[in-house]
Amino acid sequence: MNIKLSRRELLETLGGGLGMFGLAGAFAGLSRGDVQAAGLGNYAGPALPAKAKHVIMIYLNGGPSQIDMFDPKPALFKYAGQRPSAVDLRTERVTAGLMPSPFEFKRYGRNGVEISELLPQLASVVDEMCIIRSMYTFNPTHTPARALLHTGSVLATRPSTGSWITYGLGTENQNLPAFVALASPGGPMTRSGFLPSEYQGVNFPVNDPDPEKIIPNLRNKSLDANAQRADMDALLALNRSHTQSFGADQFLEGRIKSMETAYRMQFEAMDLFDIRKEPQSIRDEYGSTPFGTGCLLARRLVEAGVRFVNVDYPGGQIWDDHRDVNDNLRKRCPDMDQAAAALIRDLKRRGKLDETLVVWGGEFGRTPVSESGSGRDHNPYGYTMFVAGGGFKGGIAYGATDEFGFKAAENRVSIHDLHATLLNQLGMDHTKLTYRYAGRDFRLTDVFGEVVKDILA
Amino acid sequence: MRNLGVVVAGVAFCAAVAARPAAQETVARKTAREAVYTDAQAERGKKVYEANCVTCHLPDLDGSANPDAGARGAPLVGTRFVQDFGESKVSTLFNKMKRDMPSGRPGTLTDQEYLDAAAFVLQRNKFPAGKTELTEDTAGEFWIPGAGGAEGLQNYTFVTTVGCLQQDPTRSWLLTSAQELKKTEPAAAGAAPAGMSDSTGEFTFRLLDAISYNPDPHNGHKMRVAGYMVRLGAEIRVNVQSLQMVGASCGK
Repeated sequence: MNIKLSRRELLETLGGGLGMFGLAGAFAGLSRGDVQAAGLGNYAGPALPAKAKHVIMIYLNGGPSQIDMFDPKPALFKYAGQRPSAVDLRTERVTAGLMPSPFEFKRYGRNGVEISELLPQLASVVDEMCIIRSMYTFNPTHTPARALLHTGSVLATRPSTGSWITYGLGTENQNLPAFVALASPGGPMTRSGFLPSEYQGVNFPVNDPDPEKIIPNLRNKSLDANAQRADMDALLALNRSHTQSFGADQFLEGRIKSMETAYRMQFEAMDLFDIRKEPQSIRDEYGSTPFGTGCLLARRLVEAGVRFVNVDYPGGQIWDDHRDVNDNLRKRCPDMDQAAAALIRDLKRRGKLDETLVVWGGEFGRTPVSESGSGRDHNPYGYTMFVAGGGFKGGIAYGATDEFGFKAAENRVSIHDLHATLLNQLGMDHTKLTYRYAGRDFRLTDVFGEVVKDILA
Repeated sequence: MRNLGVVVAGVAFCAAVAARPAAQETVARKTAREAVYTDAQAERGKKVYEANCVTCHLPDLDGSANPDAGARGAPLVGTRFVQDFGESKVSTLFNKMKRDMPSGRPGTLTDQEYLDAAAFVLQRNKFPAGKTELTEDTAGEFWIPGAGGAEGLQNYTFVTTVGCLQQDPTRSWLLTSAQELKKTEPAAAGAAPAGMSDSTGEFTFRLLDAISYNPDPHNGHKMRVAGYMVRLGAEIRVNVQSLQMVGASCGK
């Protein structure tokens, strides 16, 4: 197939709905200017100075315990077992008195930020991390809180952050999905909602680093490229005929684009998803665990131009430590710590951290009061998330919870504030990234959200 | 009316239980320090050990902790033994031996031989011998204490101890060569409790929040530490509330 098109013509063709087939590799590595010139992004607001191009969201499903990881509260010892009125907040389940963390906190980095012994690797890269200790959310239950974190709404219908961002900015590599989710159960983490379905996150398992297991059946073992080309051309003709007869259908359009992407992925994805091609030293740095595979794959994906990667810590709602929180964290933290820190270190080494936002957190935190004698309940009132790279200040702990770590008290940051700040760093005004649906404009931040300027470099 | 009184008392009891901090323990334990085996039994156990265990765990029971021996058996003495079996009943040791040992042919000894071998291990960990042999019943009653003599103390009890302040290579603050924890009153933190000597001991405690008490100038000094005891698995730690220098050197 010999195509004689100028770059401009090629990009215009690409942006014109039913895309072209058989152009493997031609669309890789587009600059942001190319993407915008081609009209691939839909953000129509003022172009803010963008620091970041990509987002990697590390999601710890269930609500990790900030009291044991990032937010030291020595006062808990003095009041152990008691329930002072200042912390007598309603909890989701029956809870008892205050339960101190048995873990040691040490100071790290140029500003002496305190981090728990559970996270020695993340502590070693704290100078790249903006630790927000004053996060709060609005719901104490997993499903709505998870939706709020990932979509900005407790409703089970809204588009995910990754969908909004890829809708706004488009992709830099047409041979890959713009929004990838690794080890995700789907739902709010990948849902495109009312946005066109081409912005939905594409989920891949990471239990086995073999790319044939991550993307089974991608390679067509029965037909060679020319035969597939003929098949796809025939399908394209049928779809065009359908569109001429019945009019444009955004769901069909999204479906077709997904098929196009899958077709093009054949020529790039198998190599890209094969982390075994990385030097052994790099693989060792991330660790030979599913989460290590996810984090390493995330780095490879953003380097290849994927806009948004959601990396779940595998195992479902596993950070939901209603009992045995100390033992569970000691088992679970090492590989999480190793891989998350390796990701930050690796991006920094490759000069990609400045243009990549690494976001870490869960849908809420955990209470300083005990549950079941050895666990902690859900805590939406105050918890910790961190962001590394993308123009966020490094080496700082921003905001604070109260004396006992129950409620965000100083410089409170809501989920909407975080979303607004992420979009700001991606060059978008969160009030201008809108989509008209059912008669009104929708935003990721709804009618809320303030950019938290104090945490931006 | 009497029945009503019982009901009210019952409700009050339940309320008291519900209000009690769930993370705290209240029952003092019987431990292996109360002489749970005899010398004769430990001597029999030594023969069992030498015939079945010594290849992997070595004559001194230090196993893989001995870097020169290349042994693969876990250490059965010292810190590792406390980590593996501290804060658990003697029956845990017995059951582990019976289920997994000897390596490659587990369960091939008699129950009495396993009990004798457990008695030998207790002896080598300096638990005293007595007049009654260890049995399966007594193994289920007595606990192997964790570090620091903290058995019988509730979690978060305010305690005082004396030892050598040291920082390990990971910058954790430790109190080494420390004496057993002694329950004291928080109000008296900083002062030497009545009847408490300034001698050191054999325990090591990791200190939590020591960095709030400017520990650097006291690295290597003999210090009196007061604070809240906290259990993490078999390990005992102390959340520092007071750090007082007892001596500029740390000889015993």
